[in-house]
Amino acid sequence: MAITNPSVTTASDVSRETAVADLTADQFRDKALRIENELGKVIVGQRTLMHQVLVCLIAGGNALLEGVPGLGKTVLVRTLADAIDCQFSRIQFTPDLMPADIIGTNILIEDETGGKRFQFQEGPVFANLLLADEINRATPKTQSALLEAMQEGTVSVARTVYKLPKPFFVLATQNPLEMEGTYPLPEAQLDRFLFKLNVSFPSTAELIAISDRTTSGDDPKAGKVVSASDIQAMQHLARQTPIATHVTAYAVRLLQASHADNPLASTMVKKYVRYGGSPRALQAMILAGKIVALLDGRYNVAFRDIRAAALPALRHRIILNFDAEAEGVEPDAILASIIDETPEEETR
Amino acid sequence: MEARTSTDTELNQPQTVPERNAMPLLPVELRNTSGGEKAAFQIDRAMQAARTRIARRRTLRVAASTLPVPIAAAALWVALSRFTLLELPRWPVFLFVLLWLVMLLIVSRTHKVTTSQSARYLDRTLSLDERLTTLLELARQTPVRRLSRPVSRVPMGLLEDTAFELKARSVSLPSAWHYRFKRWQSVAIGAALLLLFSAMVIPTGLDAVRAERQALRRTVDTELVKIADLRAELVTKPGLSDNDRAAMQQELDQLTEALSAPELERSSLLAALSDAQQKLQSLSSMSSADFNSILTAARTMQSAALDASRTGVSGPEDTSDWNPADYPDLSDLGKAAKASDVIGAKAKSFTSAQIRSTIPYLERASTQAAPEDTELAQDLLDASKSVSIKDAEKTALTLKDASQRFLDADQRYQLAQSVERIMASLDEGRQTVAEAGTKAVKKGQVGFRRPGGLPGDPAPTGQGANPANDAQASGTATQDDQGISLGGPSALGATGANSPDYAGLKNSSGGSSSGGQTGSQGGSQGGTQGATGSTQQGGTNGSAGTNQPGTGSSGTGDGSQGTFSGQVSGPMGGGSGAISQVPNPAGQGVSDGSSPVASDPAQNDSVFVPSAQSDNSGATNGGVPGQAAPEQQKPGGIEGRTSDGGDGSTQVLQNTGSGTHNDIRTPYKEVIGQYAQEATQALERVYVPADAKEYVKDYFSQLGK
Repeated sequence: MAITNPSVTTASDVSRETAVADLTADQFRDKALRIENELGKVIVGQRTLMHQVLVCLIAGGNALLEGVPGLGKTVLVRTLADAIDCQFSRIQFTPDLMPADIIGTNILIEDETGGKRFQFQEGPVFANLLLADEINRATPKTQSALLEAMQEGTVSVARTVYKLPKPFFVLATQNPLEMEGTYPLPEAQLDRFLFKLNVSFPSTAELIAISDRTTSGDDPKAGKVVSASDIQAMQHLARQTPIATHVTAYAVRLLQASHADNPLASTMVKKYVRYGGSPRALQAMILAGKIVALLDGRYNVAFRDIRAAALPALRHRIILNFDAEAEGVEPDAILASIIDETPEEETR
Repeated sequence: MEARTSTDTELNQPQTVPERNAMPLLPVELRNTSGGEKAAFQIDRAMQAARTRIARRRTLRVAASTLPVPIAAAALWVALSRFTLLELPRWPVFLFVLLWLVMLLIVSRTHKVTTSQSARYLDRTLSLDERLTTLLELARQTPVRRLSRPVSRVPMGLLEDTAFELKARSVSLPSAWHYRFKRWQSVAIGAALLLLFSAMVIPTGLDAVRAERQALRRTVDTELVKIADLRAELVTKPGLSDNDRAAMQQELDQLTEALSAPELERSSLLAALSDAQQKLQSLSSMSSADFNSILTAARTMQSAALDASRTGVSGPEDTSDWNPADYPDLSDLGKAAKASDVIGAKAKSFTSAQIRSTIPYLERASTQAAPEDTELAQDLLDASKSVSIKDAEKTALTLKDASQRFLDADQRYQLAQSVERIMASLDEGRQTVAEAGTKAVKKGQVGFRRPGGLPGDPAPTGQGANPANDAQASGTATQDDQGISLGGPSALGATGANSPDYAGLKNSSGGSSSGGQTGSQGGSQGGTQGATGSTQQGGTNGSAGTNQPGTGSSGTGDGSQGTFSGQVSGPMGGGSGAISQVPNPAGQGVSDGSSPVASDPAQNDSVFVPSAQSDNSGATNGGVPGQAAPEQQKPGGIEGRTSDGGDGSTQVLQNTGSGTHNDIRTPYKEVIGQYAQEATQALERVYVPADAKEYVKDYFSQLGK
């Protein structure tokens, strides 16, 4: 089937502007499948998690993985780094970690002539794939060091802006149980994450498979199946995926429904939500929806793609009020009500 | 995606002929893309199907939502027409439905289905994941100026993928007429239907009223036609004077105007008819029966002229035979006038044979005319004498006078006939109007039905009906009608008395009754009429109370719904007056004064027989009032014909006059046949409404059993 990407077949202006390689939709899907397969070699189960991580990667966003220790968060990120031929860094966030430890610093060096000058020493953030392990253990000051990197893809040190390599992808993890000595991520920081992904506990079969795979013989290793440029090309193709206006409007209504003061808000939202999602949430849903559609073999975004992206995109962006926390209401339940009660077609 | 290759190959098969310009739902530039032609065709076809389904579904939705409106309107209309007395036509019920259908048509025509709606419908119905809407939106975004360039914004893959999915899932497209009613729609339609059904079937007493009104309207229309016919007949009727003609036409015009009033009220209609009858009656106090003698004389005169013309030896003036058939437009009286002229003209040349044949004719004619026109009789008698002495001049002179009298009589006769005919028609119309739409009350209202004694009615059997004089007889009757019963054979008396109209017309002295009005109420005053009649004189029928009936037996009959109790007067007495049409309308129930079976305990086998007819002295004759002297007797009644059987077994006991028993008695069985015959003949002589005719016949047939 000769299905080609419009940017490829028509040599559009967009494709001319970028230097990335042209990629067909089939190639896109093929590469994505290969990445998932490599991840599957190491990670047992967690298909949804891997899929959503892949969506984040292709969208050029950042993901916050939350789960109890031992569920394979770090392994997932490391395996992803193994599957992609790109530069990988890992930062273990601790309370005493300083921003300079992440973004780097200017150091004084002496050249051949004896002169001394400052030279920027890049930190671990200068990588394509950054693992920010247990990010909530660092102080807010250190956490904030990642803000510019995550949003702008740059690092500013002493009036000098340094571009981070492309693609740049931050995968942060945090443990929801050990709250002592941690610093919850501020809303601004959370908003920089495209998705917040909950890592669920494996099922019985998965646990058996994990034990078998990790306690006998050699540890499985993921091979490099795509390059950084491939990721860039996939990111470019994903952004070319068309979306109908009324589908976008649906995503907007979902976002509006997360605000308690909006007429579209459900009863649950009005009761438990203090503040709803930001426009970044809308961007996240649309972009992720495009990738979901492409991964599903379609060339357009459907309502269900938006719904698939809504939960991880809004989960960390709605701020619950005291009632919700007192009653133990989870954001996922509120978002489920939003999705259920928001009609696809606009009602007048 | 690999699996689609084969299907795409099928899609490109030439068996589907793309309709390029049939339904360009997709932009032209999209079609112009390489390979997009057939895909666009597939999409176009699906979009057309979707458009049809959306339009029909929208129409069905509007229909289901608005259907209760015309049904409710129809129900309201039916309720208004049934539960009120408003004269509402039925066709608006269908008009509501028609308007609703027109509204649906307008809605279906004016509300166009857009391409986006079609695309969304297909996306939603076939689970196309918004392929089609996205495709169309992308296509629309392509500027027109790029027509000559490849369409950059429409991915070919999306186009082909959409076409493929459409084709694969088009079988899942629901039927164009599939519609599921919403709950409120079902409830509303059901409620409206229930309302309509209730409005249609809930019984209401107004139905009878309305039916009565309609029947009354139809009857009045019929009467108007009859009146128009009568008026036209008057115009062409010969022999009428212009004044009489104009007067009658004026009365008919006024009656027409009264009957044409938009608001029909039975009482006012009857009053108008009665008023017209009264006025017409004033135009002529005579009936055609009053001219019987003159008519007989006229025929005799015709025979005389015919005979004289045929048998005599014609003189020089006699050039042709005279034949009454030569004057078909003239009545007998007119022909008699001609005959008188002919005889007068031929008298001077009469032969002996002619003289011999003419004289008897003239004498007989004189005799015949004498009861009603003595002057004419005298002229004829004088003419007879002149002929006998061969005084041709005097003969011509007297016959000329006779001719003129014949002509005058003819004019009166024509007037009387016309009045009689109109009266008959109006009388029938009055009866029809009174009966119209009220079957249950019609007989009582017109007053023509005698209480009890209906054909087939077992009513007047009257237990204890041994109606001795002044004795009370009670009877039990079971009747279909309104419990009208009679304890004795005072039929005609009661019947006549039941006609209040006659009383109004002629103001007869007795027998006026409200029985006609009350007959429908389960009781009749017919018996009372009989009683009244029994104590009244014979009205204008002369005899001046000669037949004061004295006492009659009282009978009591229990009908199914009522009980009648009334005195029974003589069997024939005043009853004849009841049927008399115009001049003796009172139906005064004059009786001979004898009780039906008097003291004979043999169960009604002996009845009173009026005394000799020859006795014209009404003052002393205890017979039938109609037997009064001719000059006193009013024409048109049956009275006077009913008691001519006095021979044979008739036993004349005593004739004591008014208020006493008549002593003539004879076995019942021996005279009933005679009575019936006389009654039948009387019915044929004068106008009697058909209903009354049947009634009289039935009465005698019942008596004869």
